[in-house]
Amino acid sequence: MESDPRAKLERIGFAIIMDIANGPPPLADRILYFICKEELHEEIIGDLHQYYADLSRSNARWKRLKYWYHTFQFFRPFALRKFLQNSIIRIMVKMNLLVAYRSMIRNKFYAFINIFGLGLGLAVSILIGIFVKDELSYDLHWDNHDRIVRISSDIKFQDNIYKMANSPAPMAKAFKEDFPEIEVAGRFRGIGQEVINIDDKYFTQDRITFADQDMLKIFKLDLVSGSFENALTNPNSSIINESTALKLFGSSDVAGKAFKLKDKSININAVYRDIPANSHFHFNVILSMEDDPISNDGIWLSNNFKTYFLLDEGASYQTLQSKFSGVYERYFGPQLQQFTGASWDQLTGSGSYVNYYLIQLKDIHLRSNLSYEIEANGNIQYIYILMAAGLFVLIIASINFMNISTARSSMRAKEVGMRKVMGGLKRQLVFQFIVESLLNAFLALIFAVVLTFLLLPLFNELTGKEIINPYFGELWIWPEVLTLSLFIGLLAGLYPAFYLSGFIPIKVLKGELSLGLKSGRLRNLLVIIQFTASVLLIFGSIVIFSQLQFTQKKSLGFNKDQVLIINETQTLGKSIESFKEELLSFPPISSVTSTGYLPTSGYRSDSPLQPKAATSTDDAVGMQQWGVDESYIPTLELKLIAGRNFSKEFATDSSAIILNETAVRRFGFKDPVGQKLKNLGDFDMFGIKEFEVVGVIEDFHFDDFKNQIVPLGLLNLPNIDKMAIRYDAGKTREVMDYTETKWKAFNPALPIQFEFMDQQYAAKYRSEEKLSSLFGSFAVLSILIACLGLFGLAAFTSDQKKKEIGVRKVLGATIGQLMIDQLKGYTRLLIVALFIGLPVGHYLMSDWLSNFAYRVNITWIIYLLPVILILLLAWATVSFISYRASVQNPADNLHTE
Amino acid sequence: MKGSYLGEFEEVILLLVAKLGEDAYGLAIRTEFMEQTGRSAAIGAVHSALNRLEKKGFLDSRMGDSVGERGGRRKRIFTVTSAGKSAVKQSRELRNNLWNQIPELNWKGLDLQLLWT
Repeated sequence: MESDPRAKLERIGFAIIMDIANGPPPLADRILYFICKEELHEEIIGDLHQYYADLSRSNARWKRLKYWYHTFQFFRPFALRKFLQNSIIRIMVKMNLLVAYRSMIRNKFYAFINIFGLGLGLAVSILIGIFVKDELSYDLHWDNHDRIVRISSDIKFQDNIYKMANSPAPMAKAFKEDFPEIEVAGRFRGIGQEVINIDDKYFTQDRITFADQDMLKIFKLDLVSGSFENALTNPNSSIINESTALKLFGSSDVAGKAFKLKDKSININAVYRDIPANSHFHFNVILSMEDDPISNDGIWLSNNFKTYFLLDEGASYQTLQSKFSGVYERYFGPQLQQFTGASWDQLTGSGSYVNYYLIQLKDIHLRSNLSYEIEANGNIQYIYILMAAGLFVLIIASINFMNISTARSSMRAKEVGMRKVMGGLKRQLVFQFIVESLLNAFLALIFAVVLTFLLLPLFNELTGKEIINPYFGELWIWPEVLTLSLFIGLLAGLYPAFYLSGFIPIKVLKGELSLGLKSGRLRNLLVIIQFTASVLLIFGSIVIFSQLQFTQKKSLGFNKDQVLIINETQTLGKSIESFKEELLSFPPISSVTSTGYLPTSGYRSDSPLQPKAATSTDDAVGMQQWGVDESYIPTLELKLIAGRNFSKEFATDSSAIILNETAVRRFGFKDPVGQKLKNLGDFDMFGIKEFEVVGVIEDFHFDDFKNQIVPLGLLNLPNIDKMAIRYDAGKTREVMDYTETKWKAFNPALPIQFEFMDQQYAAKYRSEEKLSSLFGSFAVLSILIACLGLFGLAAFTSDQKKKEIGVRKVLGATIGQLMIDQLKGYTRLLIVALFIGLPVGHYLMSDWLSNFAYRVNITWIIYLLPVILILLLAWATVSFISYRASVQNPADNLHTE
Repeated sequence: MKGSYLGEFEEVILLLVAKLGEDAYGLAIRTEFMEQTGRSAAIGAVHSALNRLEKKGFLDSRMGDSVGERGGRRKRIFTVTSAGKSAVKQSRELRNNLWNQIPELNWKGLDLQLLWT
């Protein structure tokens, strides 16, 4: 071996490579070369290299770390190059800053307009930036988040399309076996809120879910105490989060303890840290999937589970989901035949389809708005709308600076001319003005930062977020903010800089400058852009606001006011009837109904029915089927338009059904009352296979206005999870107190949980409400900033026109004539802005409105409002200035010459 | 210029330069410093002190030879100037003076204090 020269060479070569790899980090040397004084390079780097060589040959990484430490220890005044001291650049910047400062002090009014306006604009865009950055950060904190996907479904059955975040129970297991690239598969099934107890202490616990043990491999929760190992493998086991542990036991070290859920004792195997706010789920209690009665039923035709996969490294989810269609028939076919009597081919042949697809974890929050999402998600469209609004406000604010600086150019013209005569170069002047603009932007930034901190509580309230320190907190937004203000400073400074520095000295010194008239046209254009942006924002917020009003005011088909809802009434058990009677004996309460199905909350249950005479599934209508009692229709004040309500007098009413108009239409019944309906195949509803239509109710909006009303059938079946109470107006307090006292008498352990139906309804539109208030505030700010700019501009022009006004006044012009003359110019610009802004706004907002199946019409009032608002505000702004100019005594303005 | 005041660290460095003679360059001084005092110091800190002492006129320097580990870079060898010598002498005399002025009575207490200073 030793004699083989090649092996020897290779070994030496290897040693050399090793040595280079083990040498001092070259980057450290390069940094030292760059920042240290040249005359010190030799001794410093020499010493450092020798030091490195002297270090014992133990751990290369440790050596490098020490080397870096000593490298940074040379960042001392004695060793650093004197970059800027006494350099021409340093002196120049100092001088520039001084001139900029003096120019600001001399013109406090314009400086204020610039800084205040830009500061407001920056503050708004920073707040929007905070919102956007937080929204975009959803679910990125999970380990392997780029490999996690969720199944979503897109199913068409008969006339109904189901786009759900749900999938069937057996899918996780079956797909994991079918597709090797799925590393782990698991399911959630959220069950919302339940009553749990520890001995005789009762708690209403929200955000409860069932989960497979494998979910803990997909979503790596942070362990606080206990162990995740087999934590959810066995029945009657659970894990809970820290705040729930504190709530239930007053301690987070509760692994091994137990609580009771529906009289079953559940062990707590682990406590996990609360799931971060920027996640698409925040479960507090996770129960073993083994306790879920339907988790192993093997039924493919009902979708109740959220299925997640962790994919292999490098596997593509698109490739995976394209393979799904190959297995549908194998799984769905047999059960379809068994339950509905139809074959797979019949089903797909009639236009129905089944499709499941994958959505990446990072997209769930912003891009998935399906039925049955775990929590209400965000909306990428709203992000875009807000970003556009922020951009507009920023543009408006930057234009103020550009306009005011160029308009006031004549003030600086002499300075520019003088500096040029003294040998100042054009680029030095450009630099001067850019420094001024940067100083301006920097001061505005300071103002904006203060402002954002002041506005943060309001912002958090509006957006429902909990952000405390956006700059150096988790969001770490300061680099973006700093870049933004530098960028704005540069951008707003560039045009004035080149414009002002381009003056020809001989002309400006002789006073031949045309008072910035050359740039007048551009200035007008900029004003038009400003006001167009304002028009867009105002128009947009008016449309959003009216749609919101529309959803609140539109006749819903039921009466949501004066309805009190009590949750968890099933805990009353057998005493529920006597509790109801007690309530009804109180005069302000007119009716009480027990049901889990309410228009604003509670369950939804969807399955098909077909006319009794039907022979094929083509005649089936997929419909909501709600179990209610005979007080339901009077309590919600639904309108019965044919037939009758359920009644205790008819023993056969247990198989009666009341349809809504849409259902009647879908079935095509001319005379619906008396018609018989049946379930498909072997399905039955609570043991009943055949229903007789006894009544028809008018359509009412039990879903939000984004969706069309779907067919609905009310069944006379007991469901006692909630109770709705209708009471007389003005008696809210009394009814609440009375109900609570009675509840305490019947159910002392559990505190009563009230809700008002109108509040629940309003909650459905919370995200629109947020958008409306955010957008509205931006619109107000934008018009404020734009008017501020206009104010500055008008003040300046009227100052320029002093003499003209004086002469005209002497010649007999009235104050009114002078004012109208000054207003005319600006009004022309505003009208152009309105003519551009309104159609564009109309186009954009119709697009937004098309999200709603039921929407407000954009009427002429909606057009008129921004017109009046903008014109009035702008006129008020300009009139103030022009009035002041017009009433001045001409003698004061004319005697100086 | 900062004047001719001699800090404690500077004084030790100055004495070490005198002790090391021909071998008085940055890294060696640092090694010696750590051995003699048991304290640690960054290489940069030693360089900075040497630079300061040279500016005060207590040290003089020239470029010396090189060893392979330095990649051919020369060392800067420091020597104590006469101003440096008188500065350390002065400082020593000051201390001696002070020591001599301490009355016998206080010795015990001082001994105790010296244990932990």
